[in-house]
Amino acid sequence: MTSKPLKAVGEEVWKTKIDKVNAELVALTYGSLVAQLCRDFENNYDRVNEQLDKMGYNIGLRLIEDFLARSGIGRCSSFKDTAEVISKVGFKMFLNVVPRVSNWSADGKTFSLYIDDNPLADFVELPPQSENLWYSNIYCGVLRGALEMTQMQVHAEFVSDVLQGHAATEIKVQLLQILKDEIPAAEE
Amino acid sequence: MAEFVAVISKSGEPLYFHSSSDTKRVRHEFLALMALDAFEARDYGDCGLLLVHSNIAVYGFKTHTGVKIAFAIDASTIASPSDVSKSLKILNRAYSGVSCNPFYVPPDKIHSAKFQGVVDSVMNYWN
Repeated sequence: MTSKPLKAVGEEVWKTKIDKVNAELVALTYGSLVAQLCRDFENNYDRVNEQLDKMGYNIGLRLIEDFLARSGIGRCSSFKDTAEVISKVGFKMFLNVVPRVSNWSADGKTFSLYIDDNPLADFVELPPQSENLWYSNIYCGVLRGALEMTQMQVHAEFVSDVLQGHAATEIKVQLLQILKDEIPAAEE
Repeated sequence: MAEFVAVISKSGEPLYFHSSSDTKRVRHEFLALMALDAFEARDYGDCGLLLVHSNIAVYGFKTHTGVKIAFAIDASTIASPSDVSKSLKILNRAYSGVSCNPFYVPPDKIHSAKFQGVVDSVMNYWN
């Protein structure tokens, strides 16, 4: 871990090391992707969720390298640190939002990310009868993929989404296990 | 008093229609059709007053993609042109919001709660 406060790290990386892309371009591109998946799977939203998660997972596997290279962040000492890094550096540098981390379970293995201003969901109004579609489910896959590459096997899922009329957008992340065997000796 | 709001596609298909009262709906739809003719003669942008008929004044806005937005108020309402123009701009912005929704495929009919909310607030402003 670096000694600087994470918020400052996130700000600095966002300001100096990231190529910016127009937010509407991202929102509309992602939107047409999800809409196309819904058409391809004939509105079987469970399969759409699954597919988004899979895509995210494949993004996460790669994105983590980019994240580590740009942020210069080292190993986290606890899962609590990991959560803070995800929120203040990860989300900040790729999406310029800082989700709130809260709702920790007693064993410190489960937390929730509350995304107040979801950049993917601009303009979106879900079609009728789509109660089980998690529009931004790609996030869950990204988290799962990226954390797996850093030896953390997690389960990430949406609990609520303002697009579905809920009060908040909440992603629950649960640490399943630390993949000890795969820690390379060179780390630490 | 606001009478109706209509959104009509480039080729003249109705995308959205909201009338202040069910009893006047048929007459309102007829006026929207009449407004279409008036739209033909206008340039893009704020078209201003299109027509006045049976004590209803119909104003219009035409986007560069050819989508026409008609907004009608009671002709006896004292309306400043800038107020009408503001309402039309709000409706235009709301329509662009609808068309940015990835699940909306033009020229589908508009069933958007957000759009309806904007229309209601514009109509309320004039009531």
